[in-house]
Amino acid sequence: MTPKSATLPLLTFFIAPAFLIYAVFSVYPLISTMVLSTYDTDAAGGHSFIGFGNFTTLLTDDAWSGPFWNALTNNAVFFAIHMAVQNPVGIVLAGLLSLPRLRGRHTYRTLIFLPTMLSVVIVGFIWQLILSPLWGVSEGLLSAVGLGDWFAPWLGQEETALITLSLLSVWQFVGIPMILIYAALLNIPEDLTEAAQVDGIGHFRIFWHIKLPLIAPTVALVSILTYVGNFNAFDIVYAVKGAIAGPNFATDILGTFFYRTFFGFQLQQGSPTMGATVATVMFAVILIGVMIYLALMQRRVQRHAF
Amino acid sequence: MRLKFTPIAIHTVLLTYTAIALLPIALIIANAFKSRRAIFTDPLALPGPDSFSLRGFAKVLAVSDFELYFINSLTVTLVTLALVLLFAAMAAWALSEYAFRGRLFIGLVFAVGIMVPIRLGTVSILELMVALDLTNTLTALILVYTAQSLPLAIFILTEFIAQIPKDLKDAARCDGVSEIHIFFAIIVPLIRPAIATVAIFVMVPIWNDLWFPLILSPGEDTQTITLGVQQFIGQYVTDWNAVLASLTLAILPILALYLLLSRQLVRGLTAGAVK
Amino acid sequence: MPGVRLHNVSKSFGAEVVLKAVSLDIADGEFAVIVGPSGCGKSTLLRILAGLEAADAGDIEIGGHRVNDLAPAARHIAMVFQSYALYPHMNVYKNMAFGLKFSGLDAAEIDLRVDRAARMLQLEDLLMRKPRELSGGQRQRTAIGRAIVREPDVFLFDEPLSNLDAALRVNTRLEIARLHDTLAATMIYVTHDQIEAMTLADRIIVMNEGRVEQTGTPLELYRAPQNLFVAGFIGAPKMNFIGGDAAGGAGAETIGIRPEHLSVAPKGGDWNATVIAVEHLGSDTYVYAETETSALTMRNGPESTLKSGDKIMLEYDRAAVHRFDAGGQRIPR
Repeated sequence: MTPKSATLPLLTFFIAPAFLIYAVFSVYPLISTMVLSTYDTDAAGGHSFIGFGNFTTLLTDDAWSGPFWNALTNNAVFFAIHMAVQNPVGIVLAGLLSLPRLRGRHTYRTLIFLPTMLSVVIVGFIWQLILSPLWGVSEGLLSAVGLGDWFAPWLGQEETALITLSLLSVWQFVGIPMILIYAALLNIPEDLTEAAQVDGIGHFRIFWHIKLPLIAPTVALVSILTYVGNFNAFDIVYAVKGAIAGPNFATDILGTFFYRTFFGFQLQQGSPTMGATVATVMFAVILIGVMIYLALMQRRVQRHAF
Repeated sequence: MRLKFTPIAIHTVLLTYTAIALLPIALIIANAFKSRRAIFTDPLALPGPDSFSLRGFAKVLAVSDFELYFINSLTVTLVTLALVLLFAAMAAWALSEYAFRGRLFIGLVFAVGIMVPIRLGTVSILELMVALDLTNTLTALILVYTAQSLPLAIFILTEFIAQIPKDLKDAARCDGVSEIHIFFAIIVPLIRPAIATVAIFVMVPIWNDLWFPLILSPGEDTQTITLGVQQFIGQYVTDWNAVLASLTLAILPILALYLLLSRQLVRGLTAGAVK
Repeated sequence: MPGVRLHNVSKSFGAEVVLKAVSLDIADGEFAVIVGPSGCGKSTLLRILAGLEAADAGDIEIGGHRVNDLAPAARHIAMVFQSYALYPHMNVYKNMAFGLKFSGLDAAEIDLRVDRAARMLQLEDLLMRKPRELSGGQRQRTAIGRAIVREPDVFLFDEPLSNLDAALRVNTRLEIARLHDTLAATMIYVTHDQIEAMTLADRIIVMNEGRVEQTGTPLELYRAPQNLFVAGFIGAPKMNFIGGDAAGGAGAETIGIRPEHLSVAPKGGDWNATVIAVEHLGSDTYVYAETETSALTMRNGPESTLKSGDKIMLEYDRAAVHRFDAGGQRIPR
């Protein structure tokens, strides 16, 4: 026997447990779901092959396409708000935390990251209570700073519910861009920035012109993580607004739409095949994002290939 | 204009954001220990001798099985973690140490799982669990979570294993140590520092998940803490004491664990991120 | 008789040919040092001997048996690595005992062997320490101890001294030499340092670009290098190579003169030269000088008073000249 090559039993011993569990409970269901999306469910619960019929229904049938496009658009808004708020705030916080000679950086970092550790469900409920007009905490706080009139039941209004929910999610997850970008900033060799400091360049310019370009790959990573997380989100809407994603589906996103399609709600019957169709579309949406990311990051990924 | 970064300005910004991050949580916990009247008349006050009340906690513990939910969550999380650590380390070792046909393929199949959410296969996972008669069992959750966590864990552990010096393995081979013993007696002890990193990436999403408990094991005996709280609040939504208490009960264990391990947790996160 | 024999061993990594049909014979109990510049294939050769790499072609014999297809542990060898390769999570005792546990020895025998090795290497008081609590020299001795307890037929050393500081290197060198005397085992030692080779070896094997250039005792190599490479590699400071008329006059393409065979001529002499640098080492003085055609190094006694800028006449000991032909091969006297 020579090293680096190994016998089949040995390889099986090491790889089979992980590969079997992963293949049976992740790869197989994903593929099987895609296959199922090409079948129709009849009244008796049997399945028959119909090709891309479900996708045509989903995208063109009046009963389906309206809710679907609504969910997709809402999801896009949900993602846009994360990109516009969560990531810039995360970058600013990381930039401040990485400033030289900052006291208490560990404490700040730990505390600001705390909400990220909590369950989305818990966070949803926390904010539901805080924003509830019944309790009046938010109104009271806003009045204290002279903005009392500004308060509205944001989560209950059609125009504001989605934005409010998105901001709750941003509040929870801002820790992730912060910590990833902070780590990337710490990895920048100090002599790079010290050279600029000696030249009399201010912190802000150093950050903007030297550090930010260097952490671009991390910003891209954060963006794709946000993208995948957002287009796969469910818990926050379900916890705060339930499966019907009210008011009037204003907060419906792909995750809740998928859940309702699969399990049914009110008068609509659940359908595994239409559920699988929605899941396949979600898969395609996520895949497009990942492909774009991989294309941009090709060289980095090659370095990390197995 | 040139922006000035005085320490005061920096600390003001950071303190403000820290307050935004913590106040909502603090508000919930503080009010959970207050009487119903005090919750509404003075929500921003800390519980005092007049307003202190444990009524909410008494209610939660009386009408729902919180201890059971907690044990369920703990069981699922820890068993999954153990399985993921063992199986991922074994696979990562084989994938990084041995040259064999199909290595690239298997590596790629695992890599796909890092980005593609397992949730999208839910329809078939449920069918599979029904077929295996595993619905409403913790086993179903453990299997799905293990499958969900393996790809990233393998990725992180591969990075760690790659850092183990080649000489060490060669020395063991010269010593006549079998490949399996090399893995268990030398590699496993050496990747212990990676366990903290893997543990965060594995445990936190599992502990907090609502989706799979809701779909695979919503039964009263198998509810996890996240699902349990969600169901409880849906049922007792008007009982503010109970709602606040249940949220607090869900937050406190994580909070305690986090503050206890925050150094390692954040270090693990950044270590994972740097890769 | 556990001698080692390599016959036409070749090895490539992809397109890069590392070993080109190398053949070697190392006698039982011999201390053989393989020396050469980095990238010459010497470490790969050692790893092939150990069974850590497979040869592409050729035979490897240990003690008269072909071992090509045997796992490292079945070859009755022990290897000491450049990085020591101590298991960081095991103490000194466990590091030494670990491999023995897999060889079917009983606990008492393992204890006995570890104790004996520890005594031989003055590690008795350190047995319970982890590698990170040891100094560089102690780690090195532990690595050697781990090899000794296996009681191998052949010891393989891969640049074992290169991570030690200069003073410790001399001590450990002596210790390894003493060990060879005590154990009387076959030892094969790889290094890039010709001083280690000269001081330790019964026989030196000089390698370059995947080939054996010459084998012989240290003095054979020093006195009669077979080609320009060996002539330049063995000996410090390096041998001076001179072409042109001086070489032609001796019937050679190139002649080689060791620095100790150059001297300042009292009168007459061979070359006009200018001193460009002088290094006082205490016991010796190295004088670097330039003639019209070449740069020469001369080794003088400690009392040399030459200084930079001095104009001198150089002469050389005619009896100590090495002559090489156009192919760089030695022309016999």
